[in-house]
Amino acid sequence: MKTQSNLLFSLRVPAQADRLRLIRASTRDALSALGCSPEWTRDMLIAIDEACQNVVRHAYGDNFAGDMVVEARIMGKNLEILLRDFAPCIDPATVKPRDLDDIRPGGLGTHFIQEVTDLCGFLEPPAGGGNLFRMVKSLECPPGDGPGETGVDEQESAHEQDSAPGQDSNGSGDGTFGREGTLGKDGTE
Amino acid sequence: MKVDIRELGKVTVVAVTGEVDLQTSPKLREALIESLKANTALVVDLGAVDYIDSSGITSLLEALKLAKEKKVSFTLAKVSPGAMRVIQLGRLDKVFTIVDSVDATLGES
Repeated sequence: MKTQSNLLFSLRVPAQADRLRLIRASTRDALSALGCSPEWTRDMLIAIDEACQNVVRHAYGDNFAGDMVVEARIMGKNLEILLRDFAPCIDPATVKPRDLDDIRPGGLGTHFIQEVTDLCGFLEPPAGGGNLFRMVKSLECPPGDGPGETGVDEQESAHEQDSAPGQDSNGSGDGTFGREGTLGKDGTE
Repeated sequence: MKVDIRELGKVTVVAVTGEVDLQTSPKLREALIESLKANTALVVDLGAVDYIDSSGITSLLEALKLAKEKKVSFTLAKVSPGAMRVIQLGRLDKVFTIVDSVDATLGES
């Protein structure tokens, strides 16, 4: 029997600011086709855009342009977004939201991601290098269910993929949760 | 993104249309800073903003800071639901002066 993929879309683009609009448009179309509300979609767009923006701004040095891969999957009752880059590994502890009481420009993106997702954080670096950032948000209307289903089911949202985005299926990206939650959303801190 | 600047009496109105993101926010920042050179009250019309990210919010915060230094008023008007969501996520709805219409600001100077 043919296995049905839970992949919604996978997009590999140069980590450039002029690609962010394309990523938002692709995400918007996919979530709309899934039946997500405009408000839910808007929040997810914020999270994905800000995460991609971090890659564009910080992952690669000034003189080297690398790619990033955005993948969206249905994982049970949740939407899972995986964002991979191919830059040197970062220390997740350095990625922190700023204190909102300190009114100043900058540092808001990480806070936005935390606010609108149910889970977020870095996974162990995939085979072949780079960084892998994961975001999970409970779907309002999971496929096959009626409306009103909410709440992240960690069992169902557990990382089940065989390979990291941008890696062929023979890769060993095990996607452990060892680093997830650095942004404080894994429920274990 | 499109930025339209016009003078309404003693008020400068900067109307923003479209998506404000990492690619387009420098243009907004430049327009706001340029408009503040007139030392008149500044109103930013966000009614036609489809999307704004943290870099766009940063541009608004920088302009607010500059307006305070110049002691001129800085107001956000007709904030679209999408832009308001981002402003609220940053808990900035109490930091910015926000009004429902541009007309509501025209009595100021």
